[in-house]
Amino acid sequence: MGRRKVMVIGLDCAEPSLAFDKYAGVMPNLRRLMKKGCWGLLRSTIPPITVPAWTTMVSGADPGELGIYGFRDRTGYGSYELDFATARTVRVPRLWDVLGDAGLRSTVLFVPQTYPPPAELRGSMVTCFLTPGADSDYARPVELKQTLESSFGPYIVDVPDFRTDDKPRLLESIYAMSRQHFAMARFLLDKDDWDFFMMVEMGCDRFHHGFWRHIAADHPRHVPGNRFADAGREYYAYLDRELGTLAEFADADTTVLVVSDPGARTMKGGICLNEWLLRHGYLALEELPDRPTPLHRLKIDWSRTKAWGEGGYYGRVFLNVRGREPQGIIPPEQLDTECEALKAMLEAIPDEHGRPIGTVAHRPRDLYPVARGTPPDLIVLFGNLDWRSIGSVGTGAIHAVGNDTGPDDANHSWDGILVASGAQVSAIGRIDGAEVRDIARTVLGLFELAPPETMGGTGILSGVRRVREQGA
Amino acid sequence: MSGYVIWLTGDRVRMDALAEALRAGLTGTAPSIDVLTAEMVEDRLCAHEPRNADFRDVVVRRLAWLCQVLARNGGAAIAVAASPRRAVRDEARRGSDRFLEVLVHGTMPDGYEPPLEPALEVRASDAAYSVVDEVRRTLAARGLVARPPRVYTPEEEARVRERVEKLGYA
Repeated sequence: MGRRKVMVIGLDCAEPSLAFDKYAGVMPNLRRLMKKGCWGLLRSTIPPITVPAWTTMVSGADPGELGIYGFRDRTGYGSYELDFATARTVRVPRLWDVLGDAGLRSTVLFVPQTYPPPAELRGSMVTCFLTPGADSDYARPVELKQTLESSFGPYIVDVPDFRTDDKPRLLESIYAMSRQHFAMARFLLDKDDWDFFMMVEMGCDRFHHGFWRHIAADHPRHVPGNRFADAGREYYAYLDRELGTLAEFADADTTVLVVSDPGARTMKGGICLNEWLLRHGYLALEELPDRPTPLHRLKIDWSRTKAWGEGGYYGRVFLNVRGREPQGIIPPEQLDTECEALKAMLEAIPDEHGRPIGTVAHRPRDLYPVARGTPPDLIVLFGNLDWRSIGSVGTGAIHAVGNDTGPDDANHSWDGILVASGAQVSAIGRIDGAEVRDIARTVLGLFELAPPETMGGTGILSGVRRVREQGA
Repeated sequence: MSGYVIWLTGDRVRMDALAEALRAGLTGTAPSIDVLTAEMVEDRLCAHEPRNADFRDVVVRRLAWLCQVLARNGGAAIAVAASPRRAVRDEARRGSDRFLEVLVHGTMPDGYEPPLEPALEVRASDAAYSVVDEVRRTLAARGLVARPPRVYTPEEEARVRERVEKLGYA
């Protein structure tokens, strides 16, 4: 065997029921990899959201170990403020750190939570969609920025003006971003001397949020035969063509992993978390807004507030505890009781017709062996992800259609995709039980490197080989 | 610009890599940044000392004195020593008001006495850049170095925040 290499192609939010089933016929390159290796569902983290899930994927550390529970986390119990979870928030080593220590070179493109880039890196990096803009310091080595701009124009960090009803323009913007990113990837696959290559393309996620109602028959506002009904098939077919061009850079000694996190599903609506907390006496405002307003723009009366929430594809609830929060009012000895009571009430919120929706609320201590940083007191999955959490206040209603920041069709689902192919992967077909946190250890296993102690999970492919050998 | 001492104590195995990362990452915060190890002191300043039960303490005390002299003159010193005895480290800390005791969790030496109030606790497995970042922020909070630049300027933060909210993530 020659020089071992690993290529990880990440498609944010690529949905298994589409990639493996509905659109399988237009994805010959993915099917070829599946046939030569193994494939299955890839279970996301709780919460199943881009940050922290991709960092779990490249570190093997769960959100509790990372102390990262969303895009913005509290800066500490001594403050009500939130701050962005950036690359600097990640304390555990990620794949390229471990590989770099072992003398191996990585090319890392668009992987969430890579901004700001490290001072030094053994390899190349283009940072993620949390990069402020094309004028930012987004590349390593530093001169790579100029090289890429001269060939591909200004870096398209993300889809501009995402919340829009101008769907044709949105679709073109998604394609433009994806085309540029894949072109950069091919350029660096060719130019770099890499042992480990990884890219994460966000276009698939943006497509789902923008177009899910048009492609999913179970969406409440789906119109059969609409003008974008085939847009999903076309976009997945396009992704597959890009996948094929990247796979051409994989020689006989390269293992290719195609992964997504999470998947996508129909969003039935939104639960206005802070409206609900207001109505039930948990949250008090000095003045009620007359239009939907994000909570951070409102004055909270902390002396009468027991809990407040954050919106997103899942909800986070924080309790205002005396001696813990700056103006806490819940006696610390009542924290458990209050938390359990609120959990039960949130789980009982019905839909707008009074029907149960199956909400699940978790306490971080029940999810993770350790919960570092400043975890929320409750992580709330409304309708087990059928509904999103809406943080704004001002409608007076508990239920909402779509999102508080503009049209949105999809929510995240629990499972993404995993496809593995290469000389070190047996053609074993479908595998079950793989999780996002298994990927880092799997990659290190392919290089026969020992994982750091913070790297949880299981080496998937070694397990697959063992199963096959025992079964043979 | 004032000097400072970063005293790494605990798991000795990964301290060398951490110290090198700190030296590189803290460049510019002091006119000089030296990494001084217990082994250096043993070889160069304690070669003729009797190897009795107090030998380790002698080494740690001399290492501390060296670091204090450097810091007093505006330089930065990064001490690398398992330094298992709390009382000897406390002596070292009392010798300088620019002293940051960093407990490196991991495989501890036999009889290790952990600090009661370390300035910072890191794990041997933490990513080096993350440790550098935390040390720098802690030094800055004590007024020993300039505050590290925030990840985003206020304008950048507003741009990213708007993007994240529009994407539905918040």
